[in-house]
Amino acid sequence: MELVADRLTKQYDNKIAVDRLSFTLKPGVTGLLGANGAGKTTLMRMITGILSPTSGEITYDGKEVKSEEYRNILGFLPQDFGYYPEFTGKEFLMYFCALKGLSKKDAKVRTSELLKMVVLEDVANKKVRKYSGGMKQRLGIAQALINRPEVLILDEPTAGLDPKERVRFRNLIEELGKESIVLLSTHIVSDIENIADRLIMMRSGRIIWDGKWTEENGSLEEFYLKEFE
Amino acid sequence: MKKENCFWTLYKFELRKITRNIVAIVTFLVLLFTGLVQANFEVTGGYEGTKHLDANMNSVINDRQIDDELMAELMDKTDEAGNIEDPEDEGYEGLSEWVQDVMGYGRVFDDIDGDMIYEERTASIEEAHDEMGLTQEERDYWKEQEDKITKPFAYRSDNISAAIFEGISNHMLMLIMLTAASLSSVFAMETQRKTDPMIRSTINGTKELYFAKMAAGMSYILMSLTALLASFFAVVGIRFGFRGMDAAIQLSRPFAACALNMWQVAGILLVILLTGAVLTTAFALLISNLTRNAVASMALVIAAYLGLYFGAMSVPLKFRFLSQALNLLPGALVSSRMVYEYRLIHLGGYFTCYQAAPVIYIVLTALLVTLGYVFYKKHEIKAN
Repeated sequence: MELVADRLTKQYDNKIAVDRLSFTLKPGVTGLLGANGAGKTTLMRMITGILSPTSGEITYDGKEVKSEEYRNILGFLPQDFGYYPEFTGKEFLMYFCALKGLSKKDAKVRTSELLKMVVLEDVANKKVRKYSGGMKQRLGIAQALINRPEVLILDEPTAGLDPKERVRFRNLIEELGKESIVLLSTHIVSDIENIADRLIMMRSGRIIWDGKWTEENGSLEEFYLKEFE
Repeated sequence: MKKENCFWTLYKFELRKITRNIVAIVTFLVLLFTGLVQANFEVTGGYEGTKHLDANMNSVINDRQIDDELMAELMDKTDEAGNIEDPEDEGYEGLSEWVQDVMGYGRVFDDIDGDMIYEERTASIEEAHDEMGLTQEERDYWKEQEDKITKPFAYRSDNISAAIFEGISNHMLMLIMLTAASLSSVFAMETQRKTDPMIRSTINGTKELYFAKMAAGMSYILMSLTALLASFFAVVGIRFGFRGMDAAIQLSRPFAACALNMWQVAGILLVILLTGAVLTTAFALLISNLTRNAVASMALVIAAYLGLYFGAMSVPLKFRFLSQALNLLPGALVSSRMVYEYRLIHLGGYFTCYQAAPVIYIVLTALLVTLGYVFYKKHEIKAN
């Protein structure tokens, strides 16, 4: 299990959003920190294969990220994602189960497991438009986990969650990171400082810090504020 | 994880998205109501009650041959302008209008006999052949068809058939409105609602989903259109009956050079409308896929229909290829006037517009669907 980015670059007109990034991700939780416009979302979209790099490449165990095989083991929660207001929470997950190639029988089982996991079973038959922001976010997290992904990309997953939900979510991610590659971007240092096995900090499309943050490095919060102020 | 083929599950979900779209629901209901009102209006022609219609449909001259004897009778009952003089002879009104159609409006009704009618009809058809720049092979084709027509024509009032033809033509406009309102959001909404990144990163989010969306859009439009047509035919059939539908098309379109009855022409129009609906749907979905904006898609679908329709009406006949191509599109062709399109399509053999159009529509649909798939596959999600 190895996700390799090699000299990855994305340029929009005159702006370089991601500038020659190279790294290798292995199972575990990797936190991606950076201010707005640092290139986190662009990087994540390239990793999910929905955006092509201008140059460079990304592979997962030698497979291209645009391949079906890769999409079969990928879970993705975009930042500020949408939903289908006319669907119930259960229908939303059943729809994504079909998109992820689960049989009807498996889809029913998995949907009910996930609804329980994200504590939405009581409102499973309610229309998504009636959900609160936090409930929608939990539904989004659930859809990313449908296919038990080997590579899980989460772009600002804690946005909209209340403190209690954040703690539950952090525990879940820590658990998932034992077997999968988890890449999680956030603005909030406390979301990852205790669970991330590795941190990548980005500024202007480049990596400015990459490694495991230990106590010897001092306060992550202070470092982050200093770097991104 | 083993991948299952979930096409039909995705198809059902996509259909659900369309049928739960409030704009689609309201548009369908409005069109259904309009269709029902329209069915009544087209048959009665705006007259109060059915007295006028019944006078025509039960006319004493129904099934009589249009020959010298009947023409002499008509001359007796009309003034020089062709107006019926005695209200008791209202049953002759339809024939008088038909004679005016053939002889030209303004022709004095004094000495018109049977032979003059058929000679004038032949001369008008030949004039149309000249205007359309027909080749000798095309003229020979129509001569052959003309020989199959039984003459003299047996008179039947065309009130019901004309209403049915008009009704089917109106369904073309209804189809455009329904398509624009219901399908503009199929691809566009995924972008506007920001669900695109999630669906495109799934294993079935490209090929299976694209074809499921196309299939759902097409079947929704075909089902809705069939329901609208069925309600239209039900109102006409139950309220007025289908009287006169077995008469020759020449009683409604005197210069038609084919041996078809009204039912057969209605059948042809329905085939053109339904295959045209498939093409229109493919076009609307392509626009939704390309623009990724529901309002822009809606506007473009309506603008394309109006542009092509008025193009077909206004391009001079001398620009044969362009004029013939535009007249072959469903917007112009779903009309009983298509029996006056004498220009043939040369594809191995000679085919009339109504023989070739359904095949051309299916081929064009396949091209649009393929083009849309190539675009969909290459589409990248850039903006947040």
